[in-house]
Amino acid sequence: MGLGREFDSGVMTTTVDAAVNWARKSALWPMTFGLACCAIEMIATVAARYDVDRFGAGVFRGSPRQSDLMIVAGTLTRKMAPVVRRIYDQMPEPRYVIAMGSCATSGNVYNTYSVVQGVDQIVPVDVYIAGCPPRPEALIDGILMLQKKIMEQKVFAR
Amino acid sequence: MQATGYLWDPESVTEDEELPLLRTEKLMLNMGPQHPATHGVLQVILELEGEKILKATPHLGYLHRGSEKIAEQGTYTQVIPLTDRLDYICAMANNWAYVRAVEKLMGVEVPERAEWLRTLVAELSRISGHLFWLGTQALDIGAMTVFFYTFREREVILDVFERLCGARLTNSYMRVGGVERDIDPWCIDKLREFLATFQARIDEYDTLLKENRIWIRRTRDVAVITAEDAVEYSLSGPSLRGSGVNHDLRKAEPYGVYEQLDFEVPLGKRGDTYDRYYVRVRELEQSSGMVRQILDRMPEGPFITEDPKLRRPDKVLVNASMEAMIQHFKVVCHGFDVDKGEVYCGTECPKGELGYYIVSDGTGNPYRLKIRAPSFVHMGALDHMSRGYMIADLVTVFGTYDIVMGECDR
Amino acid sequence: MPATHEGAMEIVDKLRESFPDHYMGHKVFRDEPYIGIRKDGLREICRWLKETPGLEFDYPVEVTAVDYMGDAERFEVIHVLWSMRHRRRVILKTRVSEADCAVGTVTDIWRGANFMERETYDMYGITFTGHPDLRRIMMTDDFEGWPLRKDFPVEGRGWRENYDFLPQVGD
Repeated sequence: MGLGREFDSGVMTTTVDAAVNWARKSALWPMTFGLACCAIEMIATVAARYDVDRFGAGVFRGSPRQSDLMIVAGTLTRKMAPVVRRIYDQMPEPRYVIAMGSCATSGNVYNTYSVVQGVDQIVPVDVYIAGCPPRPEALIDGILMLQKKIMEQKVFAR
Repeated sequence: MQATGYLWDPESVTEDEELPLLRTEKLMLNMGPQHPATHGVLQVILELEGEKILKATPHLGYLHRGSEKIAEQGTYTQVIPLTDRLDYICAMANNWAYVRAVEKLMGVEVPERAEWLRTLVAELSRISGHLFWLGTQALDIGAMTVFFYTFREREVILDVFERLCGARLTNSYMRVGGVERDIDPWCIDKLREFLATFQARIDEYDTLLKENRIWIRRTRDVAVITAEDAVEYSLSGPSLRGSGVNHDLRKAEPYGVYEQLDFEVPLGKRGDTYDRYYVRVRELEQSSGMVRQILDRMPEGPFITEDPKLRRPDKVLVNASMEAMIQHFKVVCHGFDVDKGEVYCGTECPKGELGYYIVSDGTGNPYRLKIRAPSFVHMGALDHMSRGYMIADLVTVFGTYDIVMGECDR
Repeated sequence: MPATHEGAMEIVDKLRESFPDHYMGHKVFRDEPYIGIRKDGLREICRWLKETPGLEFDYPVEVTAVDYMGDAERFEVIHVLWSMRHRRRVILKTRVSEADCAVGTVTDIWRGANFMERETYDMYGITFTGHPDLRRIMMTDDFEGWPLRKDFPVEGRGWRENYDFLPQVGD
């Protein structure tokens, strides 16, 4: 597993950081937060061909209180922005945000009166995924990048 | 808040007993905009009596991106990717609806092979859209297996789209005057393989759902709308045909090559969810029959009109000849001018009638582009459709009217 | 049956006979009639179009508007109607000025026009007198401005950057 040194008799040494982070990254539970077209590719990622459940992130929870990952997939409008913020605030820590697609990253071509130019104006984002819409493989790549980021976190030192 | 009723006759109760009160005021419940069952960002404020819905008020606009305003800034070709993102599940059909409207305004002749190709991808989009609908409707009602099966089929069609035009989902394949590029023999073989097994798959879905007692209990006589109400509320597509109204723009105002194809329009009888489900599954069969006919009979020829204002020249010529380079530059950067005028053009998309009202002022940018989205119009009937049913049935209503918020809010 | 030029002219002629003072002009384009009418006669003409045998336009396809900034009568309200029985379309165009920005509603004739009129109100500010519930539909209720008017900028007037719901330091 790459966590530490293993001895013969089923004993392994590792650090607390590595063990806790490994547990966190292997069971990222996303929240169903599809806004627009990227949601369709997110659903396709969950379906049989691209199966994101292999990476532990397949249990999509309906409630923000039970999830640790919010994948903002689609265009964020100013009317929807307070809702996103409220949902982010309801998620327990440690929580992560992936901005999936061009619209969530920066507003895409929709530089109009009602579209927030990037979801990072409202919530802090960990991983940005480019594409319109990004392929399911790109979303999986983003989740793996987030997992790598999680492994580098320090659990106790702030 | 006052108690308005008692559980039993107050006279029969002695002084030391306490009377339990039954509160019967209405309950207002907010559903959405983030909710696992709303298809996209839709907020519905429900007035409930217990679990029965007295009134459902939809609140839209959570995905309003201002596509119509952007369309006024760009050229006619630059609007095509915007139209993809409307009904993002069946993007090619939206492209065709827009491109047809511009061609109707300009009076452009589209070559025959292009019409056959357009009809082919439109019917594939219809199959893809209905498969997606079936999967998510079944998932909402609780039948998860169907979801995985339909997505498996859908991936094959998306592979063909990717090979054809580069994108799985939001493919801007059509251009004014034809299509972007010709079809590969690889795609045709893949489609033939797909068609060979598709009828068996539809039978598989039928086995799972058509006579399933739970499915019938949850869809029979739910969200019923009569034929007169459906026409008055301006429903279209399978939602209208489920009530028995025989209105299909492919037959009423034939376009593409639909006149040369042999297909039927399935109709429902009772206007309930089960009939609309049945209409859509039979439409899957009809569409796959049409795809087979198109693959057998598609003629050779150019895939885009020869008009130099609309067509990009071949890349080989662009690198070799100055005139071709100038033409390429002009077509890509400036686009084309459309004479002053206005037109309305409606197309039968998988969700219903997608119409474009285009007003042109003689320049290369549309002066006004109004998108008549079927999902938006169906939302107007949500209140009427869901009164008297339970909250759990509301989820069925969203699915059966096949509402896509990208199209609804634009 | 496919639309024909004669079929379109038939509708125009009938309308011109029945409402000579409300009729303002017509154009037949691609075999569909585009008829200009005076805004006072809109409701009457719509009801007549729905109920007259031979016309029976029972399906409201669309209600929208166009902004011709610079014209005296700035807005043009457009109604597109379809007849199920006769399978043909008619498009009615009514001009409205900015000062008297109101036109009659057709929601009591076709209930499907309800949301369409609300959207036209939201985007242009045109009031539909008699509408049961005329309020904004796409934008929030406190939004100021009419987005699709030509003098409204594409990027808006700062509403989208107003993040007053975000928790501030010190809250």
